[in-house]
Amino acid sequence: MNPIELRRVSKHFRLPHEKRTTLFSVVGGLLLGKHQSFEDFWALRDISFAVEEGEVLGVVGRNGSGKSTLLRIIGNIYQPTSGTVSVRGRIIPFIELGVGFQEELSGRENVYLYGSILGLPKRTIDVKYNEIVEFAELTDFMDLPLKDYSSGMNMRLAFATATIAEPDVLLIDEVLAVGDAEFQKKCLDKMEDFRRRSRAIVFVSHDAAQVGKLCSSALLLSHGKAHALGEPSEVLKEYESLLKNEEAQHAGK
Amino acid sequence: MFSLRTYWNYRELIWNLAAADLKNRYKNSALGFLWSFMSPLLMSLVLIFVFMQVFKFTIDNYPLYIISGIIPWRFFGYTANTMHSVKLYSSLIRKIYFPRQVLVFSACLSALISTSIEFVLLLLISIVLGGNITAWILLVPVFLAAQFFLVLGISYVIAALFVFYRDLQHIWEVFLQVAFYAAPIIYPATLITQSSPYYLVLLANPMSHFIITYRHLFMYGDAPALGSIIGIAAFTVFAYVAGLLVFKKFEPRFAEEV
Repeated sequence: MNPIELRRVSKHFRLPHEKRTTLFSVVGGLLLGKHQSFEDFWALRDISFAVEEGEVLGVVGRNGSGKSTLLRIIGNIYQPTSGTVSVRGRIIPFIELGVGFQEELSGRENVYLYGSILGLPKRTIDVKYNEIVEFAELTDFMDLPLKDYSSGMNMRLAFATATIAEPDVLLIDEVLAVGDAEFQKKCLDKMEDFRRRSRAIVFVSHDAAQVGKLCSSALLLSHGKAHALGEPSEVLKEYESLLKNEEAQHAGK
Repeated sequence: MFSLRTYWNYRELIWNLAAADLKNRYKNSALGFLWSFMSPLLMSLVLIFVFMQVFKFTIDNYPLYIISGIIPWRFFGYTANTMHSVKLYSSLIRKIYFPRQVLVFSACLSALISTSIEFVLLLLISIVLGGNITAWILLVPVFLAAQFFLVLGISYVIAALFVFYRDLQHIWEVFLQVAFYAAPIIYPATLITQSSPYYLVLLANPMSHFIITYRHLFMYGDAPALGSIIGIAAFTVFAYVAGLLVFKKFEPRFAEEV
């Protein structure tokens, strides 16, 4: 079995024109006999692919093409409207780094909190704690509350904690742009490390160069559909011509 | 079965979230806890004054009667906080998967910890005010555990609905007020006789059974009534099972709604 397999996955959102967020308006709407009108929106249509053992799949596409929705479906955050998703093993999504960080808690407490959100047992965090602190370059700041951190320190702590995660399947949504140039280099090294340790990675990006460098195959999404799938170089060429086409259309208008 | 395994598997996350909740609530200090304990104490004092001086209530040891009603009530009152547990962590829900019950469970756990400390203070107050403390006090943890699952079940329902309906907050506040007066907290349960139309209201309020029972343990030092125990068991099982079912029905839609 492949670590990730999607078969004919579609995701439909029903977006109300006027969102009813209170019981008051719902009851009112029922009493007055007003029907709510909806916009139908297919974020993904009929997507099928498999990511094999050891593969890194890059997903490219413009804003709103369905990349993030796809990542959330693989990560079991959204349920698909139709089709089946199967993922083997522990999934760790890095859709945003430092989710669940709390301002009032100290750096140390946040490491443990974030670690447990990523599914790490306390014992593992205990063992790796010094490594995390050193990697984040925050040795003297771990007892300060997070609200006293700069945003750079915050991101470094988040990334350092995330690196000790033990994923089988890793999902990454453009989180590589963290910190200064030197820290970035450390991050890229860690990514290599992840590639060796995990069974499959799905990597979402606007950045064609990054996908070309890191991925063993690529998927191009356009308006929720799979436009191209295969060799990164081929898919990136498609992506380029797609962008050019759309630009030309805009210019023609 | 009944999600017990889920709680066990996610115990470290549950504990970390509950600890964070407590630290936020009490701002990391014992003084913070004492401040939070001032509000039920002051409220009790006002009620004691009003009903002893103005209305001339003649219940035995009325100060202890009030306080041993108000402190157990507070656990139920924490549902005004646990209601926010899912919504509060919306950024987490949109970005990573874990069973969402964990959020509600940890919020209720932090309420349980607060209540446990408050119960220790209640025990001290009872001793000072001349309550009859006997071996029956040892049953308190059993009823506290039952109350925890009742509060958890209710929290599952309101935390799930609050994701979709923001005005539930105000509706729930009013509901809590009504439930407060529909339990024998400031007046004696015997005031409402079986022939009274309000007798059913009293019986239908799960908190009545808990408060009457806690008074036996914290004040009178005798056996709780069998009727209360049956009421507690029935309400707790129903609230927990129904709450869990409602929550699981809404859970898949949380990530899209919050």
